[in-house]
Amino acid sequence: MFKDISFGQYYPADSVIHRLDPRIKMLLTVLFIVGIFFVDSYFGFMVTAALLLVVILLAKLPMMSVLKSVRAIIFIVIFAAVINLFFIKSGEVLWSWKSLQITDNGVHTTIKITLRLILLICGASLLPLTTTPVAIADGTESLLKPLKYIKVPVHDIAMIMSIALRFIPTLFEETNKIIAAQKARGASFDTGGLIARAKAMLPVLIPLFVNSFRRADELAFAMDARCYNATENRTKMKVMKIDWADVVAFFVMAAYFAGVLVERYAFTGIMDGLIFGGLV
Amino acid sequence: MPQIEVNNVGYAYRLGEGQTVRALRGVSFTVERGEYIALVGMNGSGKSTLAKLLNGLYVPSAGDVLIDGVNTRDEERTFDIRRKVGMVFQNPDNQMVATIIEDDVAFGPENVGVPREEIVERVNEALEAVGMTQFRTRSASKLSGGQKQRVAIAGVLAMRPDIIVFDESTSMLDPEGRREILAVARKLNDGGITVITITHNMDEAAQADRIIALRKGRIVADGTPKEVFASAAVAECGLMLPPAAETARLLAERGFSFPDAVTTEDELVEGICSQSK
Repeated sequence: MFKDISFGQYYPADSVIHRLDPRIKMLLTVLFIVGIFFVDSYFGFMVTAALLLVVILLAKLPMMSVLKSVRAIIFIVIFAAVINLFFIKSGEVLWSWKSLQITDNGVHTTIKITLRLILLICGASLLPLTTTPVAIADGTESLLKPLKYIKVPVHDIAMIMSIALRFIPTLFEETNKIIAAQKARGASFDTGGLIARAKAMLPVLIPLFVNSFRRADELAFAMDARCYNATENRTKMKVMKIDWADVVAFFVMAAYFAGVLVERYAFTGIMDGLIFGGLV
Repeated sequence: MPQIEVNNVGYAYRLGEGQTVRALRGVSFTVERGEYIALVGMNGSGKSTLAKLLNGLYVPSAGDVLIDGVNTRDEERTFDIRRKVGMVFQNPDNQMVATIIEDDVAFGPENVGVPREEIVERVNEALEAVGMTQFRTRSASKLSGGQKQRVAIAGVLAMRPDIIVFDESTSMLDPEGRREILAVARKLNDGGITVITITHNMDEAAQADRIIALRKGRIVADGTPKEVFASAAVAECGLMLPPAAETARLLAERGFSFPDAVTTEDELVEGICSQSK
């Protein structure tokens, strides 16, 4: 009926990118997001787009799956573009009507903001597209490990995350069953105003909650029966380890990040001047 | 020394201030290695409580439960006992911890600190034993009820238990799923694992080597299926005989005489044929 959402956006494929360590992928994603805010030249955006294209091809992802995530933020992009286009007053005026005016600086900023947002979302979506939520949870546990020293219960948090992921499809299925049962008794979920609809959800939420507690109770017994104890001498079947591909990926991203900073602060505008001449 | 020794066990639930419900009273029996036992009784007869006493999930209010001579009261040994006595529960959805099947099977061995290489070996072995190897990297939510219960059994097998308790593990399954689980239970028992199955399905109980019937927290019958079905215990417990045995009983009331007690269809056919001669 609905997609198994415990797999989220995950696009299964056998690729170098899919096989990268989830911790590395998370770090690289953060680095990329920070990096792209320093990009401020058309040349920089071209390099970023080329880098993304190479990663998408390596990951064997269909272009559409990446562009889909852009669709989700299209209104934010349009909003940001319109605001910048009309409200930047500096530079040469290209067009004006009453109090509205468009300047050349405004046009450049608008194009750059749009590019930045789109590339940002495309880049960030590569993580969930190539990594299962389970791997992301494992990676988070490993990355948070240092917090153990300040008594943060890292293992417990990770266990809670993975159990939550495990039960999402189960609870979804149950919600649908309860809705069907209430409909059979004449409940209506799609008539009336917002408040009426919210009220109609109450007879769905209460049984769902009660059942969740019962499930939690049974799950606790099942975990106890299988010797669960959150102690140190637990072992793991799947051990994450840094591979050569992870090292290479890290250096590629580090080079990109350094390049972005150098281009912005040491060669401000020079690359754009060389490529686009008088245009920009 | 018997593998399981239940000695005059009583168990009371607390309902609140001063109120208790006595789920079990004076229950005693022993189980030898490799037995296949069905524990039968109506809802509220105390059979699930008894199951949870066998691996220390509950500790008896009176009497003792000994597994290979170790008392379940001994907190130091709780994990040894739970490793030995595996348990498969009723609801397949509520006993799975991980999203991915192989991760769920690995959960038990991970808990007791089995080295990584050995976990992989045990997971392979356990999935093989229940015939779920080709599903190992799939998500559990897409499986049928019977398949989910097979994964749950694999999770127990990965602990390399001596005893497996099935706590109404087939009651939420369709007939196909039920057959799958019974076949696996039979196979494991043939491999030397003691099986204790809790059920109110008498057809299922008829496949056991021995039936223990409970009524209001007391044992009312303990014997082979033939013995138990021939006695009044089953009716006393409010349970139905398996169809073949029930037919034989009704025929006997009308003047048929069967040389042996009847539990299966084949025996019924044979019994009826012997009449006409």
